[in-house]
Amino acid sequence: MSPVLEATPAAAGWAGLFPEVLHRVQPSIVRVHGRGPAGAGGVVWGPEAVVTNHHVVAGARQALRVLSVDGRAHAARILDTSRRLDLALLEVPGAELVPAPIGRSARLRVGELVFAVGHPWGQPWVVTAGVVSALGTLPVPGRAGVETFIRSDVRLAPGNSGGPLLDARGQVVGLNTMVIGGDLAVAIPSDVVRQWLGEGS
Amino acid sequence: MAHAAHAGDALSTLSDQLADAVEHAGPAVVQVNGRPRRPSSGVIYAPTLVLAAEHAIEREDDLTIETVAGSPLPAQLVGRDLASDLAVLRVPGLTAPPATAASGSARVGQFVLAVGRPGGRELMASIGIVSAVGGPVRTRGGTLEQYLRTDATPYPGFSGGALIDARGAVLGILTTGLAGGAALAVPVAVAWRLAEPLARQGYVPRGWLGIGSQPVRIPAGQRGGRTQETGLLIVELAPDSPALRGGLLLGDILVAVDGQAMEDGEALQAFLGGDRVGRPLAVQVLRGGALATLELTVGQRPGRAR
Repeated sequence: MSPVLEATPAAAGWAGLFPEVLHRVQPSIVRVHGRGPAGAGGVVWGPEAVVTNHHVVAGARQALRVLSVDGRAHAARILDTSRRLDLALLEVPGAELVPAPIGRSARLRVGELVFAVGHPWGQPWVVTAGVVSALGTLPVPGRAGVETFIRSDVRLAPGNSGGPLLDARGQVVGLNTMVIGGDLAVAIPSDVVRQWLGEGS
Repeated sequence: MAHAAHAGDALSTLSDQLADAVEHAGPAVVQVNGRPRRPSSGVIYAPTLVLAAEHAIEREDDLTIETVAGSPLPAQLVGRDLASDLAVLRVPGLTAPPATAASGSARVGQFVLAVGRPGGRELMASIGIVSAVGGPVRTRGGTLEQYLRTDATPYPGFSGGALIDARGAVLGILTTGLAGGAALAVPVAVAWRLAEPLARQGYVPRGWLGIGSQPVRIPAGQRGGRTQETGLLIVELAPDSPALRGGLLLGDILVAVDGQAMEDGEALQAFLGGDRVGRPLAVQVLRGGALATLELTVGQRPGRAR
């Protein structure tokens, strides 16, 4: 028996919760193959609709494909994009995808648990956890004005773009977008995505 | 499905608790403006008194702090200590209540949050665990008796901020200025205790003997009847120092003070706390293989303020 390494029952209990929450939301998280060979993330917004980052699909030379976690691949096309918000809406005809539960990012608090699902450096379906580090505005490089962003300490890498930032209930509260200075991850709040899609907030 | 919903609820409870902890600690965490364009953080530890990171205070004039309320308040530097990278600021206009200190000591593996306020009104946090509890350790300005190491991300400007537990109580004062940018924290008990002389007299008194030494292995048969295998070889004696006045010689091997074995410099530094200044000290040395005891009076380390 190793008294140091043995997890306490409470800790073991917490550790089991992440996989359960993740399991529930996983069918609503997809992999988008567009611009790069490795693929990026995407969030199922409707049975035939996926939201991802603009920079993931912009200038894609190959046909867009959306892969679900069960291995199914679907052809997709761009319905709408916003370079300013770095958002893209994809149509996936006949896919019958499971829409993700979308949370209200306005309710987020600094310090609450969040986790990201993506494909960092092409490694598929990687989950990283952290907390909301800050809620605020950030100047957008090369563009005028500021945007609302969620900053978190979840570990992100290229391939996480477009993937969901989930809260402890497994609800999508943001779309992971970029990494600043190696240790600060930035996500577009779900309320901004809703607004862009004309859903109000 | 019911089970999954339960998992979500339980995880939410933990999540809420972490956010509550940040919210609880937040008002006592302030922004410190003590260098150009790179604000740092500070923690209110007593009414109108703030602990900050010494290395982030590059000026004594035009010091300000900002709280959650927003507007800058003028602050006065009352003390600084390089050994712990701590500084104490007095902020007469400060009305926010002091932070809660954690009662127990930090444990390796426990959940912690690093909390700072480099962005003024906007509080920032990152999560991790206590990775190590260590010390004593040699630092820029002396020795720090204990430190905490964490894997929580120290964002720019987090030095002087709080390392808190899952209840929002302060476990330590964060700094990246002690060990090459690593995220360390001065344990709250140490920080609060050092803050007291800093606020009162501007510096932390530390005992001084005036020796330069290096640990050496003592050959068997030259241990003066002791079993101790290592001691401190005296390689330097400062002019007009307590050691010189007490009769220590170059080449002596210091093995014990007041009956406590000294096997390395850290042990000796940790022993020479500020409360020993002016007190007599029995120093045991090996001289030519024989044990000798010398009576010294502990001095005050010179160059104390900076």
